[in-house]
Amino acid sequence: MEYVLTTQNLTKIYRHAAAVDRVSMHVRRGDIYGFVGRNGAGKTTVMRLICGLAGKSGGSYTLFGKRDDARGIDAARRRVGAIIEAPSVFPEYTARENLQVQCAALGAEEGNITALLEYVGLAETGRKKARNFSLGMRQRLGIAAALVGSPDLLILDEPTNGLDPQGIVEVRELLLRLNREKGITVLISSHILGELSKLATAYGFIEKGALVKEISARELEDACRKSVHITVSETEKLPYIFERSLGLTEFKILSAAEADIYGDVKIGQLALALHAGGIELLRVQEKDEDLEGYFINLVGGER
Amino acid sequence: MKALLRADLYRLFRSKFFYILLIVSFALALITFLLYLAISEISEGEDGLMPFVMTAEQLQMLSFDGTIGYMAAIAAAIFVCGDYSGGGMRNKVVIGCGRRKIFYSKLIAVSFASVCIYIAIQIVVFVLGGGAFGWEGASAYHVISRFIAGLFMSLACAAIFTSVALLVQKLSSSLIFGIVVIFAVTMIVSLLSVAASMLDSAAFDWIYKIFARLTPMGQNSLLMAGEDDYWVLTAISAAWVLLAVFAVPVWFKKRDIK
Repeated sequence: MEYVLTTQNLTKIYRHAAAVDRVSMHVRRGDIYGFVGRNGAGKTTVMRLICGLAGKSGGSYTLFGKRDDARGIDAARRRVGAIIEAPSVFPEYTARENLQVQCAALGAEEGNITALLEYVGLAETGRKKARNFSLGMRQRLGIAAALVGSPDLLILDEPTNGLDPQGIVEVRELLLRLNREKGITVLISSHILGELSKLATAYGFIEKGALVKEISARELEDACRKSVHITVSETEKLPYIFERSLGLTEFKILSAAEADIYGDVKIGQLALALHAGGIELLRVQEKDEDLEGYFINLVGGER
Repeated sequence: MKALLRADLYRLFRSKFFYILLIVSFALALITFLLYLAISEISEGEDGLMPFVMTAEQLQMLSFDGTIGYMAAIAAAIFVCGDYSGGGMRNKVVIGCGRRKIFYSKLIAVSFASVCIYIAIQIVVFVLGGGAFGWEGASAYHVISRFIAGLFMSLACAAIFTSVALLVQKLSSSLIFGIVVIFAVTMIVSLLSVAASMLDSAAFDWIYKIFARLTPMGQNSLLMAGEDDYWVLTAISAAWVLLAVFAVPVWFKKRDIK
């Protein structure tokens, strides 16, 4: 499996408090990696560390196979585009001029500017200064600036923050196109989980500076599927009872006393069938989570 | 580095503040010139007044009135901190431009701006002052050496205030720090100078000269007073630039970028 970015026990300490606590994350090539956490959980700090904007207190990270302390790390960074906290936009310049500055800094050809502006939907802005852009337009201009060097990895910190619904959709569509058409890997942080769930192919959940869990979208989908979690006296005969008596095919035996049944289950029938099979039903719990529910369960829910 | 410099110069030439600073510096030098021209004309026409003889060399000495220090501080704060607030600095670090190169590029751009401002002031001295007052009694060696000392003083100011802006990162803090430092140094130099002459104390004179020589803002007062150890002043200014070139990247590397 090819990773474009991995961190190994990455740590950042501010005044004796760990803002990032031994984070080990893995971003695969082609993924849209949703970085999920509450405000102040450490998402931005992790991104700032990866982007070289802040110095680490411990651990390391590897970008395109180069460790952060290796000589070639600057060359690896050339393959990264990022928007951290706010898009890099000079308000007194037009969209084209902003990209010209970015091209100059990168030593990139200015020939791609028109195509880039068209790609992000800003080709018609003409002489309009960036200070007069809407938040969504600024965000798209920021993304265009991040795309100037034709990056392989795009790091976006809360790119939909403050956007209206139309702006959110525009940014989402743009990111999906970039991922599908140009094969750009995206690391995106957000606390608008519903929005993230429409994009991400992998997730990392961070809480109080520590990475609580990494999970693929498919695994998350499984975990969030509507199911009934049962606790019983024994699970040995359960498959037989499920299949023969109840006609259930989708279930998972979790332990000697626990099992998950997917789909709609009639609890009365289930209880009768188990009783008839000599199994005592001790506890029934319905599960119907979305990403938000999963996250709250994962981090404990308390503030 | 070349690409970074291109981007910084692109921003500098498109910045209206650069042109405003140039115009203000030129205007201040012009006002000084016109003032002395008027005094000279009046003293010539009026009987009973002591004749006021002004030369272009005196105007050159008077041009070291501290303007360049303030202008360099303002230019560095606006140019460097503007890049921070626009997110350009973050972008450059993220895309692997290298912090050392980023600093050098900023240093060259601000130095260029400071030299332009210095030249705008010196144009008034050489073109208008030379034309109106003449260079009678002036030594070419002194005039040229003084010009070079002033040039290096401008570069030293640019190096100091670019470093401050780069490390402070915030426009208001950088501006306040720069202006307060210039004001404080000028004040201390003036007090030491007054103390040295009023008390006729060799110790105060010694402290004054050391302090004034060591700081580009203090060097102004020496050049204005007609001090002629230009090469010592030039060397000290060059040392400030070298200090910035070698020390600031080490410090900058450890700083978190806003």
